[in-house]
Amino acid sequence: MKKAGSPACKTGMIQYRTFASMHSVLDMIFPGLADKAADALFKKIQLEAHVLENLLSDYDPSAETCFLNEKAHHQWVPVSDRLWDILTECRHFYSLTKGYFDIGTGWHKKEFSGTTGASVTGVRLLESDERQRRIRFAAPEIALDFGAIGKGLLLRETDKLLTQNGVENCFISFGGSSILTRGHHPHGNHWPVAFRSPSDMNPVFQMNDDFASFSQGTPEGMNATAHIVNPYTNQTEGNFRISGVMAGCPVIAEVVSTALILALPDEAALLAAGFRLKKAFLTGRDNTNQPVKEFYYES
Amino acid sequence: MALTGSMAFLSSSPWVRLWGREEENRTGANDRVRLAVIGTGSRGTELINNLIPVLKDINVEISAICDNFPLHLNSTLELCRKNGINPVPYSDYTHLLEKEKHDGVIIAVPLTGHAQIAVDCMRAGIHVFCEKAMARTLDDVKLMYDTYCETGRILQIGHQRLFNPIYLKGIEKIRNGEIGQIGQMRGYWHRNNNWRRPLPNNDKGLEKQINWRLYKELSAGLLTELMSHQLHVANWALNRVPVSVMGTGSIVYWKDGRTVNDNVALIYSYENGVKFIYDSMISNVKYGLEEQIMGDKATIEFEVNRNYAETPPPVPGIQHLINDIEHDIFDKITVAGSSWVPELASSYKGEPIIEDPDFLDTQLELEGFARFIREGRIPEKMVLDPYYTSIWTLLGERAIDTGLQLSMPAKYLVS
Repeated sequence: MKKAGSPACKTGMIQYRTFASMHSVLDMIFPGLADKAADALFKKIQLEAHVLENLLSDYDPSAETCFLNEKAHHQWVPVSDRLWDILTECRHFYSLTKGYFDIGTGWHKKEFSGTTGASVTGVRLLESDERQRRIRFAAPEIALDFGAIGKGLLLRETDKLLTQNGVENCFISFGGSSILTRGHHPHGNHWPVAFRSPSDMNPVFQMNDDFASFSQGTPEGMNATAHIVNPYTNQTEGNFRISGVMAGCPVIAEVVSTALILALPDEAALLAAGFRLKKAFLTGRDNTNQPVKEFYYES
Repeated sequence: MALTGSMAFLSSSPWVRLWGREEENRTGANDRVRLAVIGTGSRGTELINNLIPVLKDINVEISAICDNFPLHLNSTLELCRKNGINPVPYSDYTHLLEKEKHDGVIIAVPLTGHAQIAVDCMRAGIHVFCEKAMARTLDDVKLMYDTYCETGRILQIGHQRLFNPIYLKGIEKIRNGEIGQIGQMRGYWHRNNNWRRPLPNNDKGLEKQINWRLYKELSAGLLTELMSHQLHVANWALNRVPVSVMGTGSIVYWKDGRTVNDNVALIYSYENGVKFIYDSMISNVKYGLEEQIMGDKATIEFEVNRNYAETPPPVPGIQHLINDIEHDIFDKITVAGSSWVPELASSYKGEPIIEDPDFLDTQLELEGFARFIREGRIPEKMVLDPYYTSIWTLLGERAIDTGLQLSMPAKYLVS
């Protein structure tokens, strides 16, 4: 622990703002920012979160994704330009992660009485009409779920707003699993972000203008909170793996941390090599409660 | 003097702090407050039970008890004697007033008896603590208030939440702007029982004497017996009196000969547009009772001692980081994992209004009464708020009966 004596960060000089979004909470700390500037920035970020939720929510009936999940089975449905771009980006990530990152497996949030086998779901069965920018699902079990990338998308937009507003130093946590940092901690030359791990691997990310994403599987018996679907088995992932990724892009951090939870033990290094990452790790236990083959990468 | 327990709670209450001095150690016989209890049914007995443990501490004597129903009088006399207290029993309160001088009376008779007894006592120079609601009719409520003004005697009404530390702290938060601008208030009191008391020896002739709460000529039922507490809280929280009320009510479930509604819903409106939305029923208890004060920054739920910020406080990891920065500490920021508990908006459980809710508010209000008697005065707000609460409770009944949206007749305006 270091202690520094900067008078710039005494009580009252830190702006803290928070709001609920995407079934989580966005916590923002702006050292040294004026109160009014923090308020103005907060409102812009909140507005962007609202826009994205209206686009990506699979619960809100007024959201475009929810509408697509309801209507796009065996019929073409037009897609807004912004969602089209996100879908295109997600398909790109699907390829780069050998199919582990798949936004087409949202079936687990729905109540299907029929089969949910891997052969009938996934983004590969999402049909696109490039010219008219419309999609349809080739199987009834398909449902779009942007839960693994939504936070990254909002942090990417937030980063743009920070630049526009000249914010030099800040720490933003989205539910504790998606982190955006700018500049440095008021009393250090970086933001030292650690992840509480049950294993001996306790990496500390020294973050400046960076993003980090942490993911973990859901052990058997905790299905109520299961959220990551393995597209190869089409089951919610029952391991207790923990992954962390630090990168220059929040969306890439989200995608890779999710894919690392699902990838086969020997695939982690190869998967990470496909992206421009600063740091990445994988630890925890697998489906049989055995220690996972740990992986640590640093550029 | 070192104060402990309920005495400490009472000394911290704004009603006592109002006069800016602590209670002196008045333990002498000349300082003893002599109280008579008129009405020794279930509520009167409960009040005595609250007083018994603190009689010595607050230097109070229960000097007389009175009830025109011998069974109640005798059982309460026995209770007193078991606890070493020997009050003089009376079956007629006028005899009690004639025979000896008491410092104060506690009135816990059925609602229709409140006004006459309270007025007679105040005119006899005796301070009065009277259970809520004040009276069965609007004119009797006004008569009680006018008599209080004329005689200069204390008139304290049994809204015990006025002494409840949770409510006092919650009101302080509201006054300090911590919950922001109040936009709406809601209250409800749900029970699932017939609200009947058993008749001694199953004597049907005692039905209205024992179950007076069920008959409209004797009580406004759920309104005077339950809602009045919560309407008082709403008025207190907003620091205003309603300007209109509309309501509806019916007997839905307990069709057993009672004449008061077992199901009511009312909306009280205030001058600033805020509404107090209220309902009460006695055939379902799932939601229990609550008063919800909703501001743009937070919601207070008094009955469960909770304050729910619209913006939840930082999660532990974030709070730790803020503390570090404020104390010039540079340490790692631990996120996710078992040490990190993201608070989902939907699962936010709020914060307690006070940390140690271990007190008896009924006992505190009675201690307060003794204190007021020694002072010879009572804070005006403690009379005005209950007065308007009783007036608007009865106007709520009238709104239900007429189906009209009602305002308060000018003759009941006292401030």
